[in-house]
Amino acid sequence: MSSRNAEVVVTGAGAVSAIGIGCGPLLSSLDEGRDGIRPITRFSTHPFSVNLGATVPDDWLRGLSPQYSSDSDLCFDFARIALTEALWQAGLEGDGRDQFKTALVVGTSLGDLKNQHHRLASRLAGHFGFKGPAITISTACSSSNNAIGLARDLLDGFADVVVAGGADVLSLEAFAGFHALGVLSPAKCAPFSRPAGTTLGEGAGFLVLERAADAACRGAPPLAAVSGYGLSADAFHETSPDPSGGGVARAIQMAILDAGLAPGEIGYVNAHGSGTANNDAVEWLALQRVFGAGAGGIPVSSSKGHLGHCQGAAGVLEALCVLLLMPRQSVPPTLHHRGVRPRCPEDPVASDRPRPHPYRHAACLNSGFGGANAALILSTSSSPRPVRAARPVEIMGLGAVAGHGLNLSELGKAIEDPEFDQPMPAYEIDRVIPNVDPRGLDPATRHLIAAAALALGDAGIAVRGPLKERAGLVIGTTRLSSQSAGEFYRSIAERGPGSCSPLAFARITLNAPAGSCSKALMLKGPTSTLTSGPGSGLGAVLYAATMIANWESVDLVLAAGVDEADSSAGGLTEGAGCIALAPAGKFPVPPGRERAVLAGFGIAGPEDLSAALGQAFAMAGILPDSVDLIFGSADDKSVLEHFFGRPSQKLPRLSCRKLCRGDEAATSALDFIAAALVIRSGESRAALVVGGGRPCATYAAILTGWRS
Amino acid sequence: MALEPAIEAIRSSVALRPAGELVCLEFSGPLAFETVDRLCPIELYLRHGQMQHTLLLDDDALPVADLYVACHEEDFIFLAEEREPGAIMSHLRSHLPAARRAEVKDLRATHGVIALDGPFAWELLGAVVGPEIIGLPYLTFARLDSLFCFRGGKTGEFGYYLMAPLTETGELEARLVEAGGPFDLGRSDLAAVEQCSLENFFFNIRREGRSKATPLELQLQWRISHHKDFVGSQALKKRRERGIEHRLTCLTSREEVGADDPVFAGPDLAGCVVNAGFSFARGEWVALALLDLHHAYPGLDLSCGGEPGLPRPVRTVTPPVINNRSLHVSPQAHAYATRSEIRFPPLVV
Amino acid sequence: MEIPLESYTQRREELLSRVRKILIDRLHVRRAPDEIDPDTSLFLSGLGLDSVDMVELVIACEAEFGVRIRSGTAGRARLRTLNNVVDFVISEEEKSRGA
Repeated sequence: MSSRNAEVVVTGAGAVSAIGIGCGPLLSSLDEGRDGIRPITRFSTHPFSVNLGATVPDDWLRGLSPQYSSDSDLCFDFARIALTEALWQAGLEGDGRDQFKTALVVGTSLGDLKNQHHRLASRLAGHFGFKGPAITISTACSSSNNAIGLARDLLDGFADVVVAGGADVLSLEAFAGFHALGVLSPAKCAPFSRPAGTTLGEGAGFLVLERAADAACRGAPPLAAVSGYGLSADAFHETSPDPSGGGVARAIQMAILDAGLAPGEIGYVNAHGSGTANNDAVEWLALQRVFGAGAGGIPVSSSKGHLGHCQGAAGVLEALCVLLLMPRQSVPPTLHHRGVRPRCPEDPVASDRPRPHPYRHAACLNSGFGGANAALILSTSSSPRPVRAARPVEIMGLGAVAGHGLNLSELGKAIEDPEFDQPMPAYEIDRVIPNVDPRGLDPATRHLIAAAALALGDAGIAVRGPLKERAGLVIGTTRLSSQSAGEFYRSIAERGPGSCSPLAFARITLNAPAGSCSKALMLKGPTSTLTSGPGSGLGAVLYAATMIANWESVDLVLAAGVDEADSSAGGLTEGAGCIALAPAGKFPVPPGRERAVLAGFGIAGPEDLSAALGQAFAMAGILPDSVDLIFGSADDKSVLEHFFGRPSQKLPRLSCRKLCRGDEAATSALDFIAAALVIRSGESRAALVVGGGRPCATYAAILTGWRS
Repeated sequence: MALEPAIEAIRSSVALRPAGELVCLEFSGPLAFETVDRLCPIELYLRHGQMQHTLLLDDDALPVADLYVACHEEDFIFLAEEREPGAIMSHLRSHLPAARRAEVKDLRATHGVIALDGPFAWELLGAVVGPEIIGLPYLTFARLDSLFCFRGGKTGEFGYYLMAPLTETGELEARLVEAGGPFDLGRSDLAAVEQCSLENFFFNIRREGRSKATPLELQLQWRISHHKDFVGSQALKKRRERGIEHRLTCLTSREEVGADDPVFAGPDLAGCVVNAGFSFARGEWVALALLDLHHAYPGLDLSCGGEPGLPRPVRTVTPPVINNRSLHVSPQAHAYATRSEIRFPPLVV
Repeated sequence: MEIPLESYTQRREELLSRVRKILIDRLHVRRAPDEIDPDTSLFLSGLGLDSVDMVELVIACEAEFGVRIRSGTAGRARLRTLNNVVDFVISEEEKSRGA
């Protein structure tokens, strides 16, 4: 298992924002104190009490790109333009390098609004010829921060270059939703000041990330280093942050620990600073928790006064504001500061110009709906890291809700029955997990909570006491809950955008089920939601595994794949599979069960199964001969045959596709569960799980028994 | 204690009192949840740190106690007001066979409770125990070393119950009093809280709780579940099937209303007062009466009389009858020192 | 009372049942209609709705009853119980009749 030892640097950056297309114009706007907040003209704001937004002006775009006709094209165009600049700056455009080792991680909140969040990434990868994995992180407003963090992880053995960032559009739907929640300010967003409230924005930003040694090798000057990152879950409410500041504090502490630093070494904080009374107060509390008495001496500013709240692109664009000013040793200010609001940072850098300030390390924070917090540590230069061995990852518990019902033994039988063809039976969530409030849970959320509770029960682990803050949750899914999305769009159709349902809006981010699940099960450690199309569940398992391997502050991560049936769109796939992972040996195992570990895994491009297999076997340190069983599905069987050096019909291949009635996110998680079952029963010494493929990423995982 | 300044403090700043009426019990051990679940008439959706407001009912479905249940890891804590002294322990003894019961500890032996109520109670508390408490949501609690801070309150204002070891309550109170100057901290007592509860339609176990009415008549169905078995569920089910004949209704009157006065609709008896008190905020009397279903609606002119021939006009109203200032105070944005900036509506509805 | 008691209470009951329907259908309150007492607090205590629920309630009531709640009237401070909502609807009706 690789370890988080590589120093990671940024060698290129690109931006599309309301204050400039391109890093140069963006920096000029910062220097000259310009904000990008203007009356919205793209759609009528007549039904609303607010008309301001930080939009990318149409005429800027028309100058650069062909006619766009819809928001989905707009999202792609923003991203494409930003990515082009980033590659050019890194000196990588038109490069003859191995594109199979170039990965893409895109953070987006609402994506192209077609409920196909992964397609933005696959389109971009196709356009630029990237052939490595193209993964989408969708954790609402913390998406691109998280994406940059995941890029760090991918550089540890899965890619040589990772382009990471995010994109989101100021769509009518987003505006209507934020407006309904009552968080939009009637004036320009004034973080930490008055009036309270935020201003919605849009744009895209991308960073090119490489290992420092590689960048030095090819003579690419680093703009900055990404020293570490941290994630946490508030486990509190769909749209309000945990008022104690504990959630945000955990993410920052984790990031500082990951970077190998002490809190006193952080010289500047770029806050989420959305401008709402709730958020700003909570963030300041969190900073006081982390930095203690020293908090008052750290400049804390928010870039949302310049950029607006760019949703999924907020993290990367705000990080860019820091990156552009850090070489000059100055920090971005907080605009529109017209007087102190109580319970806000002592030094909000209230000014319209950047302030000269000496610092080596900056913390960039973002918090999203569903209580997902992400913190990034940017540094002026990278420094050698203490060598940390990766911890082996043990599979502690399994839980699945699908065609077989809720019982694991039924899953084993179903997978071997060639005639199996049953839809998911109805079940009562109270039977699976007593005392969870079922009010307002859509089916996707119910399936997820049920599978997660079953996994914890199967593991015999109770999440209580200090474990709550050290237990995380990673979800892979491909679609929003059709029930929640339907409710939202119906409310607009029936009542007009000025009266859309705030309750439903809170549930149309891809990470809404994860937010509810972390609340129900008190999982306050790192959380993330990703999508890469089919196989997303397995992708979530592997992301969870890197967390266990690399983060000492994490003792347990639940990883799941979830699908909700949507008969209106022809999507019948339904189910959830959840796996509880922990550092090997950390928890006792119920008697009569062999210990099972995730011995190795691979993450590669959509048409690069052989690379995924190669990575997995190299990490596991075993030969293909050792594998008894293969689970899952692969687009191209010949790759497997070639890899195993014999017709792979010799090796049994089993898939849970029938249990979920399709192959989206849950199936690959169930394939993993099926493999884990045969390992821990002793039936098999080593099993391989493959999943994903076109259009985004291929995954491979090797499970073996473990002797401590 | 003078009632009016106490109520004034509860309604406009913050007031402090020892909460001697509270019975505090801790349920622990492997049977804790099962025990508490059998006793409580509501589905318990509780995660660590959360509370629910419910009741204890006897076999006739009459309230025995007004109860907050709090979940602390695997243990449960009851903060309860009982119908009469000793009612809760006697209820537990008669309904819990010892063998299948959690360990029950009476925390009053080791802990004392101080109550804070008022639109700026959160701010005083934050100044004394730390700013993290400021955003504590309603019906949750925080543990700060040996101090439990429960957010509840029955006045319609921000309310907190601070439970500390008996050796520390004196010091805690002293710290609150010392910090209380800038907040115009007042002293209150149970009588002041009861008057505020009356104005805010918060259930009082010692008044309407003694009127032989079930949660159905008392408009307390939100505190119980009809889909669960618990002590009193059979009687409740029967009453529900039969249908109620009276409902608790709020009244106001310019003239004194007595705690047991009959209420008339014209010449006909409509019901009976179960709780009454003078509201300084409104300058008139506020009462609760169990009225027959024809008259259990706001906006009706009725009368009540303690003596024949001297009817006093009363009017049924929609409670709460106070525009609580706490509704307009946001801990994220406001402070007592700058309260003049807050635009409160008139106190009286 | 200008109008007969029975038609007044009937009107109130009709309005109460419409508010209950909004609570159950739109706000996902898991109670049967007759379990939601008319003076039950909606926010914090009672049904325990939160601030997002209150926005939803205000929007739904505006659509259902054709009233305007948001501008100038702090919804949460006004709509504290079902009876409050019904009072508000009745008073708006009287206003528009009188106008």
